[in-house]
Amino acid sequence: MGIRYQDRINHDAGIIVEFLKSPHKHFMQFYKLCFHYTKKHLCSLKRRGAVLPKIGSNPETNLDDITNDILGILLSSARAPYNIVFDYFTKHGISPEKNQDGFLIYHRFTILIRGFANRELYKIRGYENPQTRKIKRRFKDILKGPGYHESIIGGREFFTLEATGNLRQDKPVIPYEKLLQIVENTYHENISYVKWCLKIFEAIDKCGEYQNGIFRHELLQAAIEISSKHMEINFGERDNLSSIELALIRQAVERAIPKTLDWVSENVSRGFVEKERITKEESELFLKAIELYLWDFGCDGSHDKYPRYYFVLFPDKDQNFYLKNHKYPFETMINSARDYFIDLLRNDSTINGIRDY
Amino acid sequence: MHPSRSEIEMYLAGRLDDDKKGFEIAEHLKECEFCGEIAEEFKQYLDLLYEEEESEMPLRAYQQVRTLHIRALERMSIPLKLIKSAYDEEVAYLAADGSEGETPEIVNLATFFSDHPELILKIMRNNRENHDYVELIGDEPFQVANVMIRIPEIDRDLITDSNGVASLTDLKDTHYDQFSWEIKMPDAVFHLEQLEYDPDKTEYSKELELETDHGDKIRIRFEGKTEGKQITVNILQLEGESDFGELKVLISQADFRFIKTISRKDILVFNLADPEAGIEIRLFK
Repeated sequence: MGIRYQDRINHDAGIIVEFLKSPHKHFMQFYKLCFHYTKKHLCSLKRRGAVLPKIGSNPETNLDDITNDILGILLSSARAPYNIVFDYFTKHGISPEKNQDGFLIYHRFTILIRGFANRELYKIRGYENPQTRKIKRRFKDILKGPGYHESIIGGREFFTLEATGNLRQDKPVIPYEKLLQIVENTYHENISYVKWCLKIFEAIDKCGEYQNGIFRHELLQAAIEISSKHMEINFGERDNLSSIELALIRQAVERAIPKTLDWVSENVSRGFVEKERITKEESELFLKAIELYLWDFGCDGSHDKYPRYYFVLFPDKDQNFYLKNHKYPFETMINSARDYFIDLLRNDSTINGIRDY
Repeated sequence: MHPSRSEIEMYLAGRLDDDKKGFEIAEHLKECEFCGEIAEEFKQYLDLLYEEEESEMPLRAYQQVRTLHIRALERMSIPLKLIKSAYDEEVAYLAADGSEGETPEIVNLATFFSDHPELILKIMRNNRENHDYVELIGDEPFQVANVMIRIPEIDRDLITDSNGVASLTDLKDTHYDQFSWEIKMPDAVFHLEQLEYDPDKTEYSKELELETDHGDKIRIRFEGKTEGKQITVNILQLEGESDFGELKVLISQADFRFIKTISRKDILVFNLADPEAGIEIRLFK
């Protein structure tokens, strides 16, 4: 493949080296190269199912606009001229004075472009990368399939292996850090999502001091964190959130959820109950479904479609019933909860600057 | 254990030197769902890069190139070196200097240069108008227009105009080649787009503050009076410091320029020449 495109690669490597030698003189050429590579990376993400943020009012120029915004940061000169680019190449031992393999310089450059674009996209609210989306979908499908048993504990979806005999319900749930370790070890030992998931549960089962099941949102979060660490492009600076930052987010989410549910119960659902649009019991189940939604949304910034949360709590209802009777009150409640929840998280000083809600 | 993303990409590019490792990766890729995804993603990216037409950059990107380039040059002091040649002892005539024997109208007295960025500073004499001037020449207009040229030995500075030219009138007949000339790029640049105002209202005022990433901050007040429109500029901070000492400020709009040396509490007043044109404010420490 590299050989197939050798001439182009040599040409592009030449532009990079010229820029490193004389940045002011060759900036325009280098910018054009960065623009092309960044835009194509965004196209690639889009083809893989990424929902890119919308910038500006013209959808036709959206890719150009995002590219421009990303390059505005990548090619800034906060400490020294184009310091992000120069620091990156220096850190990887690439210097224009040395006679180095053009492909190595080129490959490093593509890592910088893709890694930096990914990092900037993470910061934009509403962006979900295709890898995260894929892992979530794969794990959810696996958990729905044979071999796993779902229950609700404290309003949250809890999974165990069907084959597990003694459920150790009197024991605490495995701490997230411990779970993360298991998820990482099993990632290295397996080559498919199905086996990975199974081995995670088997490893937890061997930890006798904890329950032998996991909350779904914690499993997804740990799997996303580990796959990001090993599968995502790492351009040298931190792409994703650290374990400490994720723990802070989890704590903030834990604080915000009960407050949000109290607020929705008092200010939104009570009105529906008083007008007899829903019963008191239905209102309580709605709140449990909203809690599931808030866990997903709060921890990894994304969520499933609203009806999925509804049907977890109303398994015997069908789509027609939902659309006719419950869609409006449920989605009004979930939208109000979301707004209130975001407001709480945005004002939580412990997670300031970690994630943009 | 999975190979790293980098190893997979190098393998796919045919650049992995270790054959044994290459074979292992090839075998691993046949089976592993995770690494297969990485490989597929990289192949798709390369195909997109090289098999599709390269699209034109939008106009906004060209504007950004200029802005980023200016930012990269900000605060830079660029020492210049004298170009010495076999003709050092002679007067270097320019092509348009006229025939031998006549006093040429324009004479090049000395030439200095810098490598990064590539700039040339020519010290010139206009014999007909009897004055000396400098002309700064570079690849891009923004590298040469409205920048400061310093002569540290005599504590003098000049600011070039939009053509890169600055007058040396009061330094005439000095031995220019003995000075260590340097170019000083602005410490901060602020742009104000075309002013928006209601032409029916002759009296109005509006105040705003502008701040750069480096903590440079100015306050601008627009005022419309019957006799014309003006802005007042108050420098609040330079690199986060409100006690910045003396500054040279250049305010320009189209071909109109205003240069003044100020200290912290001074307020600058600039009469707007053309309400349709943007304004640029440059600060030189």
